[in-house]
Amino acid sequence: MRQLLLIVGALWAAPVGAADPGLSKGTPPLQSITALAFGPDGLLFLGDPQAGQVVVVATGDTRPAGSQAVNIERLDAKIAALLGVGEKEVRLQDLKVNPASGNVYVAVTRGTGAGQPALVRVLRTGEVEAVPLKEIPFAVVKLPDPGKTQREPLGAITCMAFVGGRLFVAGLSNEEFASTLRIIPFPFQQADKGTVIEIYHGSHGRLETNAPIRTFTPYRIGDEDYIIASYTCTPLVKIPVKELKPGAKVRGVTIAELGNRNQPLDMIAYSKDGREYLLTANTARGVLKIPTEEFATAKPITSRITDTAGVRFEKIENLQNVVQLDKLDDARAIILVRTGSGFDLRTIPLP
Amino acid sequence: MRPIGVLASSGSVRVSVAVCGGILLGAVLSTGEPDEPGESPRILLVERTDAGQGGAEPVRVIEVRPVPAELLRRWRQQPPTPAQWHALFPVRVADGPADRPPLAGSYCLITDGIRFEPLYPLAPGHAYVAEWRWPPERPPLRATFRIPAVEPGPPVRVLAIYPSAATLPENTLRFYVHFSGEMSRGDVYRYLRLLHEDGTEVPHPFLELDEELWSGDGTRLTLFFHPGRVKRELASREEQGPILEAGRRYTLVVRQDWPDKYGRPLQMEYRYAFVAGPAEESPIEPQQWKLVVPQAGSRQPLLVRLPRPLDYALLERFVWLENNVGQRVPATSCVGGGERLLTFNPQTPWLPGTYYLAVDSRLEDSCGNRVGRPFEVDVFGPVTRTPPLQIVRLPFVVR
Repeated sequence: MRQLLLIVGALWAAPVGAADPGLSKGTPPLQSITALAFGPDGLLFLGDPQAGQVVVVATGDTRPAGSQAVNIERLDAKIAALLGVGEKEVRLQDLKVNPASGNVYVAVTRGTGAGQPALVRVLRTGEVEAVPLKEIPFAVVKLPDPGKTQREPLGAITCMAFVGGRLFVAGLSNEEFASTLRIIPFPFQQADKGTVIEIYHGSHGRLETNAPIRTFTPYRIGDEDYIIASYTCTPLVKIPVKELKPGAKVRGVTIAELGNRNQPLDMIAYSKDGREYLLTANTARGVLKIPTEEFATAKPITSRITDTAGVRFEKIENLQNVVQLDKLDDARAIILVRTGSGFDLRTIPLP
Repeated sequence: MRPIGVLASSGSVRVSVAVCGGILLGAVLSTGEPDEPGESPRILLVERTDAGQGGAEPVRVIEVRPVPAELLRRWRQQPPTPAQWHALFPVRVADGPADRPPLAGSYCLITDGIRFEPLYPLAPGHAYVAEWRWPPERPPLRATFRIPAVEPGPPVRVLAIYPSAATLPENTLRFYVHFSGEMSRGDVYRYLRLLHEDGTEVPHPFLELDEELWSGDGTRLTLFFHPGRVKRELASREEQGPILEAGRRYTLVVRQDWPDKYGRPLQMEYRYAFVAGPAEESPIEPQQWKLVVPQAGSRQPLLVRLPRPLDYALLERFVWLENNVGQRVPATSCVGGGERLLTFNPQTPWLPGTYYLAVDSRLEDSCGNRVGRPFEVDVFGPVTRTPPLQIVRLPFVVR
C-alpha cells in the first residue's frame, strides 16, 4: 500500500517563496513529468506517474516577464540541444503558461525509452532554458491509492488543474480501464490524502460505463464550479465540482459530441468581446471554438447521433496540427504545433 | 589533431581522463593552439567522483585549463553571468541546427581553470563540441568528444501478447504487448496494425494516447482499442462500426521496424491471429471459479480454473491468498491456460485449515467487465450495485 510521503508542513499561511516553511529545499525525487499545472505565486505541480506522485516546486518565477509574443521554430530541436541529446530523443509532454510571469513551461522526457524528466522554460524574450530541479523548494504527495490491496501502477497522468485550493488529477491506469479522478487538497496533508472518484459516462441511451477523463478545464457556470472534461471515448461533459466527494460515483453530463475518430488533447476557457468560449485542440478535428453560454442550458445528449451534436462549435480552419495549447494572456494563446519536421511554438490571438 | 590522455588531481577531487579506446575520450584540439606549449590551455573531458557524495555515480564534466591566473582572479571577484559563461565556454551537441543553444549546465572556477558540469549527463553515443573563446581576438580552441555508446545486448523481440486465446470477444478492449527489452517511445501507434482476414487494415482501431501506457520497466505496452468504438451507442461506433465483429478473423501485427531504446529494429515482426467471438457483457463472478485444493503438508499448487479468460495483469495483481485470520499467505501466482488458469505456489507447505482466495472487485476481463459489474450497465434495467471497493473472499479447506 502506498504511503504518503510528507515533506510539507501542516499549515500554509504565507505566500510561497524559497523561505516558505511549507516547502523544503532539496532535490525532488522525480522519475517522470507528464503533466503540469500552475498554482498561485509561481507554484508548479509536476505530475510524475512513473513514481505515482505529484511534486510541487516553487519556481520563484513570480514577476511579469513582459508581453512579447513567443514564436519559436523547432522548439523540440532547441530543447534537445539544450538537454544534450538528438532531436528524436526528446518528447514534449505538456505545456503551461505561468500565470504569475507569462513564461511558458514545457515538461519534457529526455531519451528514447523511459528517459529522464526535464523541465524547460521559454522566456518572453524567446530564450529557451532548462529549469534545474535541484536545490529548490518542493513538496511531494504520493497519489491516493483507491485500493488497499496492492500497488496500483498509474500508467499516465493525462491532465492536472489547480482549482479552489485543490489539485485535480486525471489519469489512466495501464491495467484496469476503470477510471479515477483524484482530488488532493493543497498544501499536501498527512490527514487528507485526497479523494478518488469513479467517473462514469452515462448519457448515451441507457448504457453507462466507466469513462477515463482525457483532459479537462475548470469552468464556472452561473454560481457553480464545474469541470468541463472530455473522456477517452470523445464526448465533452460537464461535472459539478460539488459532486466530487469521497466515495461518490459521478456521471458526467454529455453536452457535446466533437466527432468520431477524434480525441480532445487540451482545452482552455477564455472571454472575448463579452462572450465566453472554450477552445479545444483535437487529434482529428483540429481546433474547435465552443461558445459556453449554452453550457448551463444544454440538454444532455441522450440519443444516438451520427457524428457531432450538442452545443454549437466552430472549427478554426487556420489552426492545424495543434497538440498543446494554453492561454498566454487575455487576448492571446500559445500553441504547440506539429510540423513536418518537429514542433513549433506559436503565439496566436484568441479566436 | 592529437588525442590527450591525462591523469591528474585537482584539489580534493580525483580527476581522470582516459585515452581513445578507453571509457572516455580525451580532448582533441583542432584549432587555435597557443604558441607556448607549456601554457597551452586544453579542453578535457573529465570523469569526476565527488568525495563528499560517497558512492555517487561518476559525473562527466568538461574543463579548460590552465587558464591565466589573472583571469581566474578577476572572475572570482566578479563572476561572469550564465550568458557570459555560455559565450566564453559553450558546449554543444555536435549535430543539430546551426542556431542550437549550448547545453544547460553550470560553470565553476577550479584551481587552474574552468569546469562545465552539464545539467543532464552527457549521453552515450553522442558527440559534443566544446569551445574556449579566450582571448576574444584569437580563433576559439575547439574540442570534440564522443561518449561511447552502450552495448545494447541482443535485439529485442515480442515475447507475448495478452489476451492470448484463439478467440476473443468482439468487445475486447485491451491488449498487453510484452517485449524482451526496453522499446523506444513517442510514436508507438505507427508500428501497430490490426488486419482483416484479407490483409486490409482495420482503420483507427487504437486509442492513441500521447502518454503511452508503459510498465515501469518499459517492456510492456498496454494497448486499448478505441472505447468510442467498443462502447455501444457512441458516435464513433455508430459511424465507423465496431472494431471487431463476431465470426471474422483478425491479425494484430507488431511491425519489425519499431526501434528499441537503442534505435535497432525488432528481431522480427510479430503476428497474433485470432477470431472474434460473441461479445462478453457479463460481470465476473468469482463464485463460479473452480478450486483444486492441495493437500495439507504439501507444496502442491492451488489451481483456480476460471470459466472464461480474465485480464492477465490484473489476475496477478488483484487475486491473492489469505489465511483464516486475514493475513496474506506468501505464494507465487502464475497465469496460464489462455488466462483461464491461475496457480498459487506457496512458499511454505500448506497447513490444515481454512484459507481464502481474495479477489479485489476491480479485477477485470479484457473487455472491462469487473467483479459484480459489467462494463456497460443498462441503467434502466435491474442493476445490482456493488460497493466500489470490495474484496470477495472464497473459502477453501486444506486437509
